[in-house]
Amino acid sequence: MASVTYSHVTKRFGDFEAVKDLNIEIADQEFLVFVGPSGCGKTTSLRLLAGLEDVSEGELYIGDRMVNDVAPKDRNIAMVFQSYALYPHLNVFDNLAFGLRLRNVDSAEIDRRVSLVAGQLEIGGLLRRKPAQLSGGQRQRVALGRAIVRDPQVFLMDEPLSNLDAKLRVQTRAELIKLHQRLGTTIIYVTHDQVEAMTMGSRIAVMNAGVLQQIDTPANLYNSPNNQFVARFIGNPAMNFFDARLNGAIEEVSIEGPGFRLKIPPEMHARLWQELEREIVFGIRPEDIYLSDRIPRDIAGELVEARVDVVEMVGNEILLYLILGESGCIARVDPRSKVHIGQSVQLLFNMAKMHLFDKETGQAVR
Amino acid sequence: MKAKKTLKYVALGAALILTLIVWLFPLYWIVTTSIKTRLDAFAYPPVWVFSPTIESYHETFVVSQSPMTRFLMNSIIISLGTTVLSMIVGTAAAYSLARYQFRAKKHLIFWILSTRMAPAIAVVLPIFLLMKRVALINTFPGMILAYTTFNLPFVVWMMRGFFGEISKELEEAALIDGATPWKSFWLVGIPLAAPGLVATAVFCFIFSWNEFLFALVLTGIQTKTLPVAITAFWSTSDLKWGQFMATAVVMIAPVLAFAIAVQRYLVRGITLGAVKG
Repeated sequence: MASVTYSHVTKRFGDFEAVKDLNIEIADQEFLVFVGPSGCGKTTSLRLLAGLEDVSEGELYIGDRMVNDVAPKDRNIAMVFQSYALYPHLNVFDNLAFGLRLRNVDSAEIDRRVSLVAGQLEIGGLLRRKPAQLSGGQRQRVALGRAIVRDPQVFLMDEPLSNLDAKLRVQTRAELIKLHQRLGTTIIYVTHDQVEAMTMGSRIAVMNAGVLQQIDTPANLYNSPNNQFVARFIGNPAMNFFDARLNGAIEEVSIEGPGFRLKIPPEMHARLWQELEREIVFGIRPEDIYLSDRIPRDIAGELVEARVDVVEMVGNEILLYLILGESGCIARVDPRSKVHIGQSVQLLFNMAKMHLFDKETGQAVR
Repeated sequence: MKAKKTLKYVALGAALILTLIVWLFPLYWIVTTSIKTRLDAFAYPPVWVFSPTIESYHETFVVSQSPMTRFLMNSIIISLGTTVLSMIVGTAAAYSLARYQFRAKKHLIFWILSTRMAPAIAVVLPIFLLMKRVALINTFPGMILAYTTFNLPFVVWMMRGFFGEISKELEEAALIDGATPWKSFWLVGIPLAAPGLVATAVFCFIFSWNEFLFALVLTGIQTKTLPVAITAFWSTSDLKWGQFMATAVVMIAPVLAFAIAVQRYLVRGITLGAVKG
């Protein structure tokens, strides 16, 4: 059993709280991703689990065992560092064998396990080389191999792909997902890249300023963000936000913002009419904004006038930077669209996919 | 324009050559005098072309019961002894100062380094009185301890810089792989700091080998070191230039060789110590 539980875990550095009252239960064999901007507490949370930092308050469990006071070497975990942390004075074989030798595994068994893992990761031909003689991708695989060869209960990974070039990153992402499926071990992964988080995690824990914002599946985080921070952080390009106000009466609730007035679909009236006159933030993702001349058949919504500011041809789509009233927004539109800078266009907002947030607290209004 | 630049380079070159001559001449004179015969050594005007001989070295170090050989051994024993002691204690202290956080750490670091700032002449008398009290005057342990008082802060200073240069993640990786903090230090920290260890040890040896004041006050006939012993040659009668210079060469040569080998580490170690928090 290799579940992991953070129970009211807080970590302080002097007066500064890096992690505040963290409560997470990670199931055995789950691939959980901690994601958030720099300084949000994701790496600290990982280091607490590794035993490299002491818990200030709360309890940390691996399986049923509380590990607050257990040394890193006794937690049966393995970690892949952002910089790989390969021992530069040892060759690849000795790097892989290091942990096994410390545990007095006999040399025949060390040879067997190292050869097996080296074969799986295609680094068998590099065993006599020192880390300085390896490429970035090779070093990354050696770092992974050093973790795998120990057969731990939990894998910890601290932004292991951030030092790779874009192409290798995409390739290695897929390999890590396959590795998780093959090993069936709990993986806790830290990244600042929301694309990595969305593609790899079975669940994602979004953190900001030491506080857990939301923990859910990638789809739920994307479709039902709990607050404005999560809504902005997940999704690329980010969600568009407009300061607005809910107006009307029970039979017709609309959102009034600078330069637009949008009717809310009837199925949402019952919930929202109580929030009338409330200051809210209206959010809509770029892919839920359409040009009026290319509206898909099953999409209905509200039309809004805007002016084209920048056109970015990406290949499979066009990113339109638009000025709406006094606000800017981004739309992802069909690549065949004929638009130019300065043009006035009519946009359709798919109101079925709209998001509302309280202006003061940032919490979702549902 | 080009002529002006050429003139500038010629002038600069001439100044450099002149400086080199002034600085290197004493060294040249010492070496050549040590391989001259007595006659050539005393010749006036000086002899620039001569037949070299090693008779001075032979008389000084090889002839049986020559005291200089014993003094040379004393220098070696004391310099090596203090180097080993300072390196063992200082390296461990430096590692803990580089890696661990504890209260008053900054003050401790400053205090350790401040002991190196004290000029030897200010402390030699108190140390003499202390050593006399515990009967350590004219003993090897006494001399080794005395030299350790200034070698130890130097080792702490240098090695803290070198340990600070090693990524903490390497030792953290070792801790997770199964190492205790001691094993992490021994299997990862020490091997990676090896060049720094060697350089620091060499500097300790050089400082101790060259030291004069403590040796003058704290040694007797049994433990006298070369820097003190060599002064005995300086007399108004029967000045044995050849032996004098031969002793000087034996004193200078190892230090010069070591210093050339490790000089870049001295600059690196000092500046590292200054920058790392």
